[in-house]
Amino acid sequence: MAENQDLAPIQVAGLRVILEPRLQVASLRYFDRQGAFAGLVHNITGMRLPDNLCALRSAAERTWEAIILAWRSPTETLMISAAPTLIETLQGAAATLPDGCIVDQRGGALVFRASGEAVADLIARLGGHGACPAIGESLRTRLADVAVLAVKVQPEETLLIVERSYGPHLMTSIRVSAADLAIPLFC
Amino acid sequence: MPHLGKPQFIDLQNDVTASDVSLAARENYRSVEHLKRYTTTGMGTDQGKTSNINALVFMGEQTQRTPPAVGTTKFRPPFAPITMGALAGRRVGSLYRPLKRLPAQAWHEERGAVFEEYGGWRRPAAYPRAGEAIEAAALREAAATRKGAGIFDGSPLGKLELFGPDAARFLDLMYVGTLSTLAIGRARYGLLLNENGVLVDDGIVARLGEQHFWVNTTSAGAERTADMFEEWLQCEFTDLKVLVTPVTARWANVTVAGPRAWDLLAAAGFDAALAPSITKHLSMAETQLDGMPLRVLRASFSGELSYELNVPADQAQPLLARLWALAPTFNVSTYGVEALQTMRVEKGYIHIGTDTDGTTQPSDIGFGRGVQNKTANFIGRRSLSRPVSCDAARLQLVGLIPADQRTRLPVGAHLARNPPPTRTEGHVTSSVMSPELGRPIALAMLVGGAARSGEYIGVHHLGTTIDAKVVPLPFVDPTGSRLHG
Repeated sequence: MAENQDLAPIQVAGLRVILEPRLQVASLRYFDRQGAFAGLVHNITGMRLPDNLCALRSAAERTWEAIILAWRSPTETLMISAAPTLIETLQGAAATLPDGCIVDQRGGALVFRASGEAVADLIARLGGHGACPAIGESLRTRLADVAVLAVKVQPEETLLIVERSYGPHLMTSIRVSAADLAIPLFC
Repeated sequence: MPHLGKPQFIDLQNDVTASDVSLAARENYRSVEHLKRYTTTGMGTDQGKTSNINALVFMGEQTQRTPPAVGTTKFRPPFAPITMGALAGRRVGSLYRPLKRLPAQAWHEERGAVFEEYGGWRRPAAYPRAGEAIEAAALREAAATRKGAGIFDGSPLGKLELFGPDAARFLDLMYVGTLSTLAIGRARYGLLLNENGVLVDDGIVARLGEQHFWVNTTSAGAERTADMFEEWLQCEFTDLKVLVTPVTARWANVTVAGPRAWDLLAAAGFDAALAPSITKHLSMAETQLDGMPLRVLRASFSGELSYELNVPADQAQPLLARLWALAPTFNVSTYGVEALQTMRVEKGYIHIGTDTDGTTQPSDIGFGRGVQNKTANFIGRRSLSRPVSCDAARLQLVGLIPADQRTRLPVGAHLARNPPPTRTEGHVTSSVMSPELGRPIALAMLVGGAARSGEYIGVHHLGTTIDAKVVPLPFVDPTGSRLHG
């Protein structure tokens, strides 16, 4: 499977990038961050919609059980979770609300987990200068010429969320750039 | 500098001569920045690396100044020579630019697909057998689809979900057709224009709920159309409450077309309510297949009974495998983009950007009545009432058949009654060998074409002329009965 080969984990000194197939993505779309839809999200996830450029993570014992809300635009937040029925639960509850909706992006958005001290270097080499998020940040950027949402909710890792069709290109670019990590950047 | 009586070039890239610099000095352009702008010296691709010293020293001579007193223009990077390789960086080979990949690419590779780039996607052009050329494979695939059933991966087709209380009104403003009157579960073809009334995209719009629409765009136009919608919402229609969410990557599209399409789907276990007698052409149904969510659109770009099965991208491969397992029973063929192009030309369906250009308006492709019937406003409407838009001598879509019934008409060839040199009357936009008709056919844009059926015209290309007959469209199934199964 060509796609699977390209999406295979990358492990070099100071950097590990893996596809996180358990994490599912949905777009939360709304007109008003304080409206009924936002209230529904709060009731079900226990989290408020994040402020601009921000990302939040729910408390959870195990990393993959957490819910992550990552700002993407003034009217869109990505919900990233491994909970099996969360998207359906929210969709059902929001069906009659007039001020927001949930657009299922499962299978369409891939989540890569990047960790290690070289993540910032990698992001810079892929063209995302200034797009290495601090903890609690969600930044839109272009890495290797494709749109990526870079999210950081834990100190040791950065999530890179990319459209599925560009996943192999991004991972191939990361694989090539990872080989250069020993070479200092000119800056 | 001695006067030699002929041009003495100082800047070989921009053809700046010593007399140009002298003239600049006489005109009192003393500042080196003014000298540059007056003469264009140093503005070539080398940014003055080969000419600046010549120009500055000569300007100094003309104005009795030393070169340091003349000064230099502001340098732009790269300040030192740099290799093209350094500029290209890692953008070489397969990383030259990002190509989108189909979710079921591996399945197509196993079927022997030959991939080519179409609109930024790597897609199967055809599935040639051993020793078979792509064109021959496309003819075989098109013929097999028209006789039995064909499976096509239409995943790149652009997909947007629109939600909000003003979604219907917004779509009425964006598209030539009236979409607010769509019943839930029904779909309609729409043309998208820019402010100049020029066709920029087309596709099917389906209504999934009172405030919820599914919009198909062209494969290459998905991002462009989403951006266009956002721009109008954020800059002009700011009072409308509409959310536009691209879902192209989320939903793969497996299209099953052909007279036996439903037989195949029924045998594969699809809901009986999807039968063509129940789910009509231009309908959309949300359903499931063994727990796999499906959005099934009855629409056709081949002209045959057709089901566009939209499934979550990670389910595309299992669905293809499930259908392919039944292929021998129903004489099913895979077909690629080239076969689809053949079939859509047979039906006279346009391809935006191929059969249209930056001047094409709805009436040029036979949609003038749709514009006249719509009472509400829409983007581009004003431009369609300009005199030039109503001119009967506009380029209009026609069909062409070579008079000898066998010579392919080259794409791009000019149309004219008289041999060159003469004024062109149009050009060939698409040309295929029709497996259905057994002869070449073509689409063309021809001056006043709508009123010229039956006329013979010369198709001129690289010194040769082929006589062709102008015919009405479509070439195949003019009543459209095949669409309904």
